[in-house]
Amino acid sequence: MVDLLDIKDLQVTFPPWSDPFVPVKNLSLDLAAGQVLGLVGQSGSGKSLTGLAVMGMIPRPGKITKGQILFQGMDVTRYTPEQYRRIRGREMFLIFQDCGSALTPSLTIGRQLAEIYVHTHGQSWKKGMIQAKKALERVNLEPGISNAYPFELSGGMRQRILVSMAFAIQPRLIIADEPTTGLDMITQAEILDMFAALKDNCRVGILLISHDLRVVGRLADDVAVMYEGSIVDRSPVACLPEQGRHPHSRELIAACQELSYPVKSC
Amino acid sequence: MSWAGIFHNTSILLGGALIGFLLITAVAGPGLSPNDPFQIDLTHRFEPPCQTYPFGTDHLGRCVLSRLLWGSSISLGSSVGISAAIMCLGLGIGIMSGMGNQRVDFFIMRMVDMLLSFPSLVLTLGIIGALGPSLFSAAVGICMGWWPVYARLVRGMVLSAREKEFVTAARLTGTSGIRMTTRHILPQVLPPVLVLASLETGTMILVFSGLGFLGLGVQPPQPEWGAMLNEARTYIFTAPYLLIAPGAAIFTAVLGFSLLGEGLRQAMQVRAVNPW
Amino acid sequence: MVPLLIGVSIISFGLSHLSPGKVGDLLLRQSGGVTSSESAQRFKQELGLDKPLPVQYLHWLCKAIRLEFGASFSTGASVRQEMLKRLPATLKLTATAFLIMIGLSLLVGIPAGLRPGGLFDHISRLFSTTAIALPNYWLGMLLLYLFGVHWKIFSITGDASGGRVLLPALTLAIGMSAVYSRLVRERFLEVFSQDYIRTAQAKGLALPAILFRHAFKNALMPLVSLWGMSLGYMLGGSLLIETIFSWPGVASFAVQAVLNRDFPVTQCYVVLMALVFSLSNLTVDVLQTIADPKLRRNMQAKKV
Repeated sequence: MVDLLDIKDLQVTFPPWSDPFVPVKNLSLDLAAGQVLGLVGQSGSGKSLTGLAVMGMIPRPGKITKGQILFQGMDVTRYTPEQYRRIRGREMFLIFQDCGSALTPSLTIGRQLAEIYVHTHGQSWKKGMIQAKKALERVNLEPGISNAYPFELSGGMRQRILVSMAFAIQPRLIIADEPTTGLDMITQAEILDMFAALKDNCRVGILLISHDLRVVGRLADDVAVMYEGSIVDRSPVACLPEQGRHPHSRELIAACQELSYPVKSC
Repeated sequence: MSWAGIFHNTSILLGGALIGFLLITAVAGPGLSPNDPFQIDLTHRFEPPCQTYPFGTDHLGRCVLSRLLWGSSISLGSSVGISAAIMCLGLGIGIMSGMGNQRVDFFIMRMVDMLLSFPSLVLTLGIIGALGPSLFSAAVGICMGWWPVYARLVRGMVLSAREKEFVTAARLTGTSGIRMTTRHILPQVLPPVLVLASLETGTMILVFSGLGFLGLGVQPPQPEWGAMLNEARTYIFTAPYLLIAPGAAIFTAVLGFSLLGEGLRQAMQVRAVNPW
Repeated sequence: MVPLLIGVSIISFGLSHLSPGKVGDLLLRQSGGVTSSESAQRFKQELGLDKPLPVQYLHWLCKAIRLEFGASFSTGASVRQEMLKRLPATLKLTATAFLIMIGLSLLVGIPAGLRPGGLFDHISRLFSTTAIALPNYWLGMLLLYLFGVHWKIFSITGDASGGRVLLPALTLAIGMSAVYSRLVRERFLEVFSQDYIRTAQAKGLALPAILFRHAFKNALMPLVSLWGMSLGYMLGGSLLIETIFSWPGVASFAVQAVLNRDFPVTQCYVVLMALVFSLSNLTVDVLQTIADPKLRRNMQAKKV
């Protein structure tokens, strides 16, 4: 079985080239279709950048200086910008964490969703708007929201809309970068359930990036721990407490256990 | 703001150099000029550059270079003076409005709004129209046309400076109005204002010489760069090269002040301040 | 809005009365009469210059509203007629210059913002710095010489016919477009660093779609009010440009009027320009409210 995603020895470098900054070094991981891989690590460990690298969206002036990214067998690091653009929004999609500006402020939600149906699935705008309303229902939102602007909605609603974009595109690979951070617990649970539905119904591979081990623990099959630009541990998620050898993994596990809801006997 | 950093800042250096050069011509110009700028010599009209007349002569046989140097004092001097006046007015009124109570602020801002309903140059024209064209009326006209924009900007800066925490702290410890203004508000407001002043002096040079060009400011036979361009205009068919010198002078002066302003802005790390 | 207009009218009225003595003397001189104190007094009475100031103001206001400023001192023709006849030419010049300015600043600013530090960015910065410092009347004359005298493409003397507007409008537009191209650059640079552009890229959209559908409105919205203010600059600048290019608009007429001490024309010009400017600012405000979804929602909320 060909892996959906196979990253080999990836290195991402930023200038100044005389004293370069290397946030991702010797990074290797693989992901199969229908699998959820959680990528955990602290802020600054390079997780988001890995996701961006896979999408070919590393912010200028950084670039990939070593390694390969094999997506469905093809080395996308060799792709031209135009080739890459064609697989984005069709084969692969990245859901950002919404800090308030992940959705275009000047367009209605309906337009932003319909755009996907028009661009990815070649439908007319009219049909796209109808599909957009259906997509909103699928994530438990009122279809009337399609006439609203992002600034009128709450963070939880906007994050759900970003997830519904993934539903609309139905790509082979979804990269979700901190999809639950900043949301209340109930909404977090709902969003994770939506991801689970995506995984079950669409055989999509999900790379779930989070600093929160509990979130990953709930959804992922495997977990990879990232520390200072490389993967230091990888195991099935339930086995991490036993199999996680790296000191950083142990710290994460310990912190996770401390933060868990304290169960006191009455 | 590091003083050493100034020497690495190309803008400041270039701008400062240009202005320094022009200021020298403004101050020492009359002394440096090879000939009398007012001397009419009809036997030597439209002379090309030569030894007696390094930049040639104009339609009345007057030495162009001498007129340029004398005009430097008038054009530059007046523009700098007007700019300073506008800044002081704008600073003073803006601070009064920003620091004063609601009623004072309201009243001043209504005045500013009314003045701003006129395009600046139109207001200036109106004043010159009423007073008759002269250097004085041009100066007054420009001041009236331009101070409202700065008053409004300064008021905005004062208001946001007042919101800052250390100002609230000062107020809580009972700092009085005047002390508050000079010790706390002014240091915040002054750097952007200085940057603006430098940039605006460039605009003032353009406006002032523009009025001279129209014949609405300095009157002949005073050598003023804009007026010289106006005179050259009549002879655009026969002696188009007369257009070059005064225009280049104006351009250099404005460029100098713009570069200086930009450099100051970078050095003082002021966010882009835009008078519009 | 109304108090503003009243204030505007007071200022205009004040301007017209900055030198009442001169007005009276000038009138007398125009009428060719010998100035004796009795005839001076009689003329002042006829003009109503001896009445108290508030009365004079109301009197003036009633006439000013209808743009009735009497006869020009120099031509003797009705000021109102002459100004209204010339107004379309000035409006044509200003409108064309405005469009050119927007076009130029977008053309120069957008590519510079998309590739900061690139070659185009540096060239555009050079262009901006130079164009800001360039006196537009000097540029106008150089262009006039090149196109009018040297190459004879442009006709020097003037009517307000179609193609002839391009050269003056370009001259008028260049200064402001230099400033605005920098602002446009800043805005596009900022917008393209926002998350929603990355979302659009993740959707696989091509650059034109991202630029026009997602970036444009957000980048340019804050600049709309600035563009409105630039109309004021253009109305002022037309004083110089119309004179150079012999453009038959109200501004060139006004300049002549000031030189000839033709007070009615000057007053009418000031009032007219204030009206035009206020109207255009109002239009810009309305347009901005319509275009900006946040403002629109605020307005709708207020209505409820």
